[in-house]
Amino acid sequence: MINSDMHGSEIKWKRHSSRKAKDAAARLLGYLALGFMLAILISIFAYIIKGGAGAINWNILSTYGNTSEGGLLNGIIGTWELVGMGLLFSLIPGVFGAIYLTQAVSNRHISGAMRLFTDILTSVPSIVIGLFGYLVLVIRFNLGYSLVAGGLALGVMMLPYIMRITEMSFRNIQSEQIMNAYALGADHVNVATRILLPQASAGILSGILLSVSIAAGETAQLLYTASFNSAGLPSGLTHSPVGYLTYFVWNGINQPSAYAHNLAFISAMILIISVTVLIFISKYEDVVGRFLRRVFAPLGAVINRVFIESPPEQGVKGKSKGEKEWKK
Amino acid sequence: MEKIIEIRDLKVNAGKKEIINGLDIDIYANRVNTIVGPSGGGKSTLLRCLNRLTDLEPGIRVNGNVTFQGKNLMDYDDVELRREIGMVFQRPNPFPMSIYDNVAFGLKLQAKVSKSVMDMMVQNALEEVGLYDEVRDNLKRHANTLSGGQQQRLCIARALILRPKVLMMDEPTSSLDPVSKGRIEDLIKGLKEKYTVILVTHDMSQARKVSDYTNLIYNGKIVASSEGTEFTDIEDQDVKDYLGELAE
Amino acid sequence: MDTKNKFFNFFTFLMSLVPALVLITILAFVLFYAWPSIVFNGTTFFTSYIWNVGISSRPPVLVRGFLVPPNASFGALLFIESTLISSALAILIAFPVSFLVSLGVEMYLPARAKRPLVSLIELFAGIPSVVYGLWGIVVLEPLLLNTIEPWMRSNMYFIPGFSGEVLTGSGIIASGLILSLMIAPIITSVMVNSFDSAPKEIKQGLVSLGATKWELGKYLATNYSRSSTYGGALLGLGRALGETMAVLMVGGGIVNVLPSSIYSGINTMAAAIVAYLDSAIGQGTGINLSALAELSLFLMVISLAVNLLGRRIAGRGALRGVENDKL
Repeated sequence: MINSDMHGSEIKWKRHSSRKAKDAAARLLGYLALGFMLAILISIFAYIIKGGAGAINWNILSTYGNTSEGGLLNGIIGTWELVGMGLLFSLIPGVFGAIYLTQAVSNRHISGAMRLFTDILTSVPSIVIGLFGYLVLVIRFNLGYSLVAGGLALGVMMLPYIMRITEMSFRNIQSEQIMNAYALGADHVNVATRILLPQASAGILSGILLSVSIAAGETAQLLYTASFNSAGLPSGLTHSPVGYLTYFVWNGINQPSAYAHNLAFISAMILIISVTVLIFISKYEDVVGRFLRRVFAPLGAVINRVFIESPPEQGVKGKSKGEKEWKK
Repeated sequence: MEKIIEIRDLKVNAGKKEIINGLDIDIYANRVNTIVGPSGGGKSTLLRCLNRLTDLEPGIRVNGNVTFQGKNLMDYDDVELRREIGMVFQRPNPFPMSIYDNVAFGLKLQAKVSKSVMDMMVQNALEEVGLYDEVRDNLKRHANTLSGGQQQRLCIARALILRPKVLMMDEPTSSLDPVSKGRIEDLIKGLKEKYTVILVTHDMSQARKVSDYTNLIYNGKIVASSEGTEFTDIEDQDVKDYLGELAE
Repeated sequence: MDTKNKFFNFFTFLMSLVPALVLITILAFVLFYAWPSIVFNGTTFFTSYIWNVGISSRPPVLVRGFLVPPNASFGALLFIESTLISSALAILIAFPVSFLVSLGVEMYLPARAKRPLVSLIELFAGIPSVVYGLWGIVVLEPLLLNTIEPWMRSNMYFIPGFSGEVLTGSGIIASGLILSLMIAPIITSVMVNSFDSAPKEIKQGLVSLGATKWELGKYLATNYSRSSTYGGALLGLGRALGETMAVLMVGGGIVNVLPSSIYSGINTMAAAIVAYLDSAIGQGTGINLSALAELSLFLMVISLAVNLLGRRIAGRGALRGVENDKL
């Protein structure tokens, strides 16, 4: 009954209506799941913004205080001071570490291990960093509750993001460009400062913004390193606690008073709006990058002419040295 | 000659770019219908329109009137259409599984058959492409252990097991060595007994070997069609130049 | 190479070592501070659920070479169990939702919609955890307490653990739900990325054999993307384990009682560290702090282990392209 001349009509095909029904069900479930997630996202934003916008006033934004009296100014400024401090500690190792991983590594195992450490540093729970910060920075190194202790705790968390995203932006640069530069006798310093950093500027900025957005929303690292300061701004870098917005959210909602709840909502609103803007800019780095490149185009043109552009034959012939170094 | 597919005024746009620009073509049943033309001329896109693979590609818009077996292409269910019009791609694309599973895949998806029927259908399909004798003892071997030419024949068998009316082949030999290429060309000549073959190629000598009816596509239009491979009534100088290049 | 370059290379080398040094320093110090507790508690730490800081008003006593307040005993079982239950529930919710979302985004929605939608989902990972806690307290907990949990209790009572008393909205369900929101973007990104990175030839081959989009998605998820699917889930789990503030706020903060039903309150390891550190500070013998360090050490070790395993399974290649997410 079966032979090689058998044609389609003799095979018992599955009814494609049942397969189509499964397909339609999967489509429906996919849309439902997406709708569910988006509905929750909207719910979060709507509740926070409704609660925050309804209670906000200039007095709250312009005075120092805590959740029982006064305003949020110490929290707003303190958050950015802490994040700035964290950036100060993480930016240099992040960017220069990424340069090393990009250009000078001769042993793949070493660079692989370094990347692995960077990756798993992101998975250290924030409260573990907080406890470490308290025991080691605040007590053992005697920094006290302070900007430096809080900044270091945030920096530990920001560092891997900055390093990873910077390295990734370096890797997105055309390798011919870099090889050509090496072929023309550029050294590591030249390549780093004239090609890697300018070309990856948008990517690095995106990494900074992302890490800032994460750091601004952190609480657990700060509770026992920056503690909290309701009197105003820290008086110095060490031994002077700092206020921050996430503390207002956490502490405010746990207080029984409506005033404290209001402060919690306003702080949460400021946080999610800032974070959303930062994430948006960092995700749409290409759009932002296009803008940046337009601004820096004249500078880029000069760099291009001096260091990168070369007649193609010369570039190909003279490539060997640069290529070798690159391929390592 | 019986026409199995008629295409009238086909237009395909990718974004603002026109890939196919008012194309008319007839495909004759149980013939090797060859489409020759320069790369980027819209050959692959034409094939993708016929089994509506273009539905999946974002930004591609297809307009025009295509009839397959007397019925408008858009009135077919896409899954059913792809069963009746099989496709073989430029590079062999075996799935990462055994030889047997590769060939059986489409049938498992589309039909309920017993193990013994399945075994026989797989064997038939492999015999049709002349691969059965080479792999009969190793049906459980991973498909990527086969050579490139064998992989491409496996992909043909994989399409044939669904007993399609039409088999479309998109430059099926372009990534193969000359010996494998020759085997597949011989195979194509044999396939037209049972199937309608649409072969896309930019290789004029291949067209000469296998083609029953040849269409020349240039800049998204069919500029000449003929039985055999000789085009006589071409006026456009660019097309003449292109043919000249091909002949060399 | 000239001196300038030598110095530059050395400097960048040092900088690239910083993450490793930081990680090792943290591990070393936490281990150092945890040591008294490890010796003092022994296996009790993992077998008892009683966390008793002892009577600090009475003079400390010497136990196994360490001065501790009388009656002190540190059993972390409740915290460990809380962490595992809430994280498991989070994965149970987030995994199928993420799969469906990535299927919808990848297979069914127009390609133009993909990037904005994935960005919106990824926004979940950027929302500060205290904001989740706030939303959990004002929106989720009342909803659970008044509607969902009573409904579950009267309609799903036959499932073990579903018949208990509904007391507050906080606890296992609230924590699991909130954690699932926080980890869903991670799993979704990894899945979308791995669907994307499956070879086009294979996708076209499948479709031209007549596979529906669902069949295509199922095939990819169970074959090509299988490892990154599991890897993504583990990365999500790793994050759920260490999440602190949100579960502190909606967990219920119970002490010395193991959860008896799905409506019970919990107290995860991370939440317990925050909650008890305040009272441990300045406590005379230091064993209290040490016990929290031991809890931190254990939490860190399992988070790192799960994360490492996830990365190994998913492979770095599968994570490329989603690297600038909060993984």
